[in-house]
Amino acid sequence: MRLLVVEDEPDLADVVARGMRRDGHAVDVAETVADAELKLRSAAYDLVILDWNLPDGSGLALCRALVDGSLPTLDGERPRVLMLTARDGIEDRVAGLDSGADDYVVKPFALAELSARVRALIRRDADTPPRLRVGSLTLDPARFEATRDGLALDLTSKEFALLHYFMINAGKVLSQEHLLEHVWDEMVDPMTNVVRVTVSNLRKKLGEPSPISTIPGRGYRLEDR
Amino acid sequence: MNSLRSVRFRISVQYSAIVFGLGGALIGLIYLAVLSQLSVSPAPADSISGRTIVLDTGELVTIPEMSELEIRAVETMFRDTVLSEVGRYSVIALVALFFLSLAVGWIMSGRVLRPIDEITRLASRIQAFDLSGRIALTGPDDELKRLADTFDRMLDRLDRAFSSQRRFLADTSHDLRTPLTVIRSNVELVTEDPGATVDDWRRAGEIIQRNAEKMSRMIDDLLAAARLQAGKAQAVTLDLEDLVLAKADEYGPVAEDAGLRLAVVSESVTVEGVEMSLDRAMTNLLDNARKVAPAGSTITLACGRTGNWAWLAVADQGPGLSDDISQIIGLGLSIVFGIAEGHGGTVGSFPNPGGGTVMVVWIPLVEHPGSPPRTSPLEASVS
Repeated sequence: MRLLVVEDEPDLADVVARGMRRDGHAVDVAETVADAELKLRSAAYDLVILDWNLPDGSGLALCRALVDGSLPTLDGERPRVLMLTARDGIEDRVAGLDSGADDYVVKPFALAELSARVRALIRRDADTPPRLRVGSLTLDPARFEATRDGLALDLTSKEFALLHYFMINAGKVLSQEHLLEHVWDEMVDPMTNVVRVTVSNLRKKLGEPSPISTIPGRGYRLEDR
Repeated sequence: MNSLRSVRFRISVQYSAIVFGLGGALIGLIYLAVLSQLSVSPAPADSISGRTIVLDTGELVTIPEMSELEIRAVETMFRDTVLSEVGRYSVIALVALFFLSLAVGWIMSGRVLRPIDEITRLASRIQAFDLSGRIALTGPDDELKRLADTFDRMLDRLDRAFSSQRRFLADTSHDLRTPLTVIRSNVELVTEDPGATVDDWRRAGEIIQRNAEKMSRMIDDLLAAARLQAGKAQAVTLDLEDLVLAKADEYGPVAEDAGLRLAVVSESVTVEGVEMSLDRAMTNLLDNARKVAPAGSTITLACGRTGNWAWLAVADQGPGLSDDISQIIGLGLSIVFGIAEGHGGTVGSFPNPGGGTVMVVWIPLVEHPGSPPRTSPLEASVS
């Protein structure tokens, strides 16, 4: 999943980003509302972790703009919003959720809880159970475990993230650009063949017959049989 | 019983005692006057015998010959009758007066004290944690109305003081939570990662140390703010321009290190103030400006006077405030508010004509300065 962390405190942004990367997400960081708006327009995020108080404005206003569509995203899909803030008053939580945030986490929080909430939001989005199952494949994002025919697969974190994304979107054709947008962060070179290479490595590890088919000129598809 | 100890009871007893005493003295005086009038020595027999008297009924009666003894007997009988009647009426009057004065005293004191009961009832509804209620007594502008109004004004001041205290507490806890979260998350990341290298641990340690230092600086700030509120008496006459120029010398290199330019616009203006606090206000505003200022931009530090107000201002060329400043206030700005309020002034924010924000600390120069100007003092002084 592609995540945007909007937080003006560099140390906090850094530790949240590292925690999310550990979970296999592709993470970008924005430190201001302006920066966040720029990134939201130019990339397709699945989830935004948003601080309330930012140096140039309020995260709440940004959340509202995302929800009501006044801030268009690259692929027209509205990312999930998780508010991350030190405001713990009941009114603040209500205001946060009412402005369209999908979840609300109060500082100081435990990274483990933040991870779990992010997984829950992604699950809700894809309407999938905590442990995914597609054909002979299973994947448990919380335990970082994937199996085929009951045998554990030894995947790198990027391969795991890619398989996770395929399984959430099982049966759909996913283009290379789409995979690059949702599984890789902004540091990746858009001209690279990293998607092709990673898909090919993943296929090798999944074994025969390959559940991932190539649709020429369109992209890849994980067969949901 | 409670009513025995009430002011109403005491007032009615006092009132009653005074009325009863005066009435009793009057009745006693009348009794004595009657007594002394009747006790004069009897008239000589020859001055009475043979005199003709007109009775109430109009009949003429000639007093027959009487001996002196007979006259004295009649007079004595007459005197005794009058005295016993006067005495009887006096006692009845005194008893009636006693009850009447008590009743009148009770009713009168009740009428006088009713607004006070009203004030008590309204005041008891105002809770310690919600100071928004007011007595707002209606009625003529008398002593009690003035008492209620004074009470209301005191509540206004308390309410303001409490809300600024609450805001300060909220901001403080907000600002302490971020470094706390950073520390906690970093510990979590390295301890739960079995593959964490020495470098990972060292990096976590450095981040934790940096954030612990940040927290301890915040606590210093808090203590400074508390001390400031405790000791407002050390205000002296000082020139804001001196402070601004000294600050510019000190802060110039800091700004340069951050790739920024520090400009100064100042004029001499004398205020009553606490040098250390005003210095801290400038530091906090400059720190805030430095955080949002884009590289290569200019931060302006300025002071001057506009009407009844002296001002200190810091302008940045950052992205500007898109929201009400109370929404994004932090501990630093909260302390600036406290310092401004400690000087009887306030803090304002204005859009900077060149983009960004102008933060202004207003300090009154006179006793009743009215409200501070609604325009940025920086624009006025530059143009």
